[in-house]
Amino acid sequence: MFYQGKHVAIIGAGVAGLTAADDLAGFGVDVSLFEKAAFLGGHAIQLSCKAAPDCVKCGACMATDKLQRASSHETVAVHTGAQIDAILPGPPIQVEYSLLTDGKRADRLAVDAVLLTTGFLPYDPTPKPYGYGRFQNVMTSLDAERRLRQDGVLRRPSDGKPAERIAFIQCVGSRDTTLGHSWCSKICCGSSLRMARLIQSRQASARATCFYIDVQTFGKDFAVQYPLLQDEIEMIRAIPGDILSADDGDLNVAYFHPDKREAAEARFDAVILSIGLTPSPDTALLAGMLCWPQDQSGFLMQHASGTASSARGVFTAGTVLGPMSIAESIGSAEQAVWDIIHFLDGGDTVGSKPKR
Amino acid sequence: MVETSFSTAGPGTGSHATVLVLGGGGCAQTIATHLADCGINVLYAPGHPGEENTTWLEEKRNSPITTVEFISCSGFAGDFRMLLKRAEETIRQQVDALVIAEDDHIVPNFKDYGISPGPRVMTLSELEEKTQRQSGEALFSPADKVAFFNGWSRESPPVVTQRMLTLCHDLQSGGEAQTFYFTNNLKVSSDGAERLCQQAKAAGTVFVKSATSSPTVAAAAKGGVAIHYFDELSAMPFALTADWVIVDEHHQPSRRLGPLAAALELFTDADGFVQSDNVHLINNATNRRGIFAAGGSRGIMSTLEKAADADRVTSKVLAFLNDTDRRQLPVVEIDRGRCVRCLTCLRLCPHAAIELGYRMRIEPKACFSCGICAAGCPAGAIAIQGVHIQKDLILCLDHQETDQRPPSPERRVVVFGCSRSARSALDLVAARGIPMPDGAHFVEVPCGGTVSSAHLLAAFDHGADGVMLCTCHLDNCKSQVGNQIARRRGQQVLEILASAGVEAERLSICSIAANMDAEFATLLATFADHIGALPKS
Repeated sequence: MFYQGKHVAIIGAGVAGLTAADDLAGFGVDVSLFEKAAFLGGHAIQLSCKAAPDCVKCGACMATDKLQRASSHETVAVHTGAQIDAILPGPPIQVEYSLLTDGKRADRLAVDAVLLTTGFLPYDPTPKPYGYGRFQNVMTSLDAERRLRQDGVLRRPSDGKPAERIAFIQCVGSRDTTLGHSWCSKICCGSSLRMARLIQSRQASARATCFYIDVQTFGKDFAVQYPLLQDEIEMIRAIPGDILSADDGDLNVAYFHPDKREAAEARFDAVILSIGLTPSPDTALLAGMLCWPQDQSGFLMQHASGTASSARGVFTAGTVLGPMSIAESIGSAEQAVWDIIHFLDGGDTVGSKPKR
Repeated sequence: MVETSFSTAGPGTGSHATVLVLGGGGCAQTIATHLADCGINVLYAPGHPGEENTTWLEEKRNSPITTVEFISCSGFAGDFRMLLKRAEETIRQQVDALVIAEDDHIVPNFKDYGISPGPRVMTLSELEEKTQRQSGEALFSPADKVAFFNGWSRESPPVVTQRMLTLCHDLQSGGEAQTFYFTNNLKVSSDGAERLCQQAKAAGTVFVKSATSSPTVAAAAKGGVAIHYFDELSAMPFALTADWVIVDEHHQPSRRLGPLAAALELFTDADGFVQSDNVHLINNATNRRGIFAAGGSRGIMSTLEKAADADRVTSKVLAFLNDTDRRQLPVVEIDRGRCVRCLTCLRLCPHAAIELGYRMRIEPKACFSCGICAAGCPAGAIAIQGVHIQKDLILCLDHQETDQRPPSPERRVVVFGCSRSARSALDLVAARGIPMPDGAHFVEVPCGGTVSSAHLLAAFDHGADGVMLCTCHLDNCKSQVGNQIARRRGQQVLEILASAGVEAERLSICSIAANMDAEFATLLATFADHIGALPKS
């Protein structure tokens, strides 16, 4: 193998980190994979399959695939429960870390390159007027994912009954100037509509309503899927103002009816908030350590020439750069792999053209 | 750039590896230069020779880039045998891998909006070009009303919206014109698009979103366009005479792509792009090993995304040439005595891995070991090493006494499941602490397509009371059609069972994904209970 003796640290074992670990190990690189959580796979591994019953290409099963592939290499060393304390410029680059699982053991590792795949933070909707945290049956899209993954059906948190009238509220924490969140989170339209369809296909009496601003394109077959979805799911182009509790754990959603042009209220027995992707606090921390610029939104700025930073030997991929689908995260990691092997070969990726 | 040359370890002869890059445009050029820099011989087939700038071809690289024309291709991964044209001369050339990076084709949407091109009605690309070429001189006067038409007739790809929003934002915030943006679902999912939209709005752009009504357009004086529209929020009709109209575009696969895909036996998606819409191919793989798709050949992308795709596919090609997936080549054998050359295998193979010669041959480098051919062979002449369904069946049904668990006299259930989906789901079910239902046995297969009608019948023959055939979901088969073939075979067996007077519910055909552990546990328990409730067969 060509890169034997080369060592790369990957920080964050979500789908991007796992993809890069698998690919780099394939090139003979020794990989140290650091993960903050106790498990590998990040957000993607927790998602449910949305096939209803045919595949809808959400890519969630690819997280399982990447996890199996990355774990199959002997040259990938996994550290879960890890915290990165410092990254010192090289060569070789020094990564100082602590393992929190066995009573905070600090250590240091010398590597040739570092890849940051620390991912995103799901928006916490508590400050929004939707009663999240107060009303049991108001869930985030990730809460709903976990429930679906656990039970195969969506049960109401309050009484365990299968949810029947379900409202999806889009753009919670995205496209929101009051929060200063001037970005679209990209993946939520696809994820909510696929989830709505899945629930309807599993629970015959369930009916979903989707409150939205603009439906964003998802999947290669969007042109075919979107008209079908419009027939199956009630689509209301309005973002609700607030949610009030009704008896029996039900919820009244208040909104401006776009066709009737008047204030309206609709009763649901569960509400799913499509929460956005926001920069994780780790992003700011790492950006500070590496003097890596953040964009106006707080995500790491992608270097114009690729996934490298101005710090030599440091690269990024995945949702640390901004909202991405699973396929895009995998793609981003694959691009970083090219940049890294190019760098390990002595090519200077940063801002330069390939050496003639 | 590369100290260690990749080429020496390329498969085949041990000499420099050769890769053919098909397609004109920036993405194909970047791939060609990346590969040549890595010491790989590059054959470059732009499709429209003579039309593009070729100065980049003359730059010095680690390996040469030779311009050719594609005629035809046979052979397999690592040993594609190409018929090419080089400088008016037809040549035969062996290549190790192929990349299709043909650019897509941009079509203006005039017809969608019922409008004709004119001096003041232009496409997005035309305005972009004019804006770039303009040196200081303003295109518009500040009082001009410029209307942008984007995605109110057909859904716009986000990359097109991104370009249009950029132009609109620049005109409005630069005070160059008053802009109006007619749209329906505004596609702001590209990086920075939402911010552009908010800034344009703050600077004075009027956004009109039509969901249930469509604006009407008619020619007005001085080349302007009269637009009548209904504002759906205020329920009021408005009229606007635009001095300029900018019309959006959509992307289509290049005309050359369809024939190319057919010549190379590649699956395409619903829009005609190379690569079927299947998550197992993320991002650059195709149904054939050694053939990769990139850029405008596999979907709609921005220029930046195409550049990223060029980087990505380069690492995939290098990985392939160096065999970094350390895949053990499948050992697939055709029993010469049994083979009658009926060509069923050739017809069924989704990976074009079977060679038709005086003898049929399966090329291990191209084979995905899905077993579709073995299960479909009427003579039973094909064997894949490591796959012995019949033996597994007998093991689990006839020799139950060797099993750790006590045999269940109540019922015996066989579950055929694909190693990519049902196997992983079953592992997760086990991790939850849920055991297989009593008397249920799992037979792992490399693909649903490996299970033949004979296997299904054999399960009943050896005493199974119920059989479950678990494939991947439709469109989620690594071999694209293995699950469809399995379902068809299942249907046939159902008919046979019916004619033998066996209840149809004893054979269940279902689909499952690797991450459907909760569902799989329920499915297994329900089926086992159901079979248990039926009279013993």
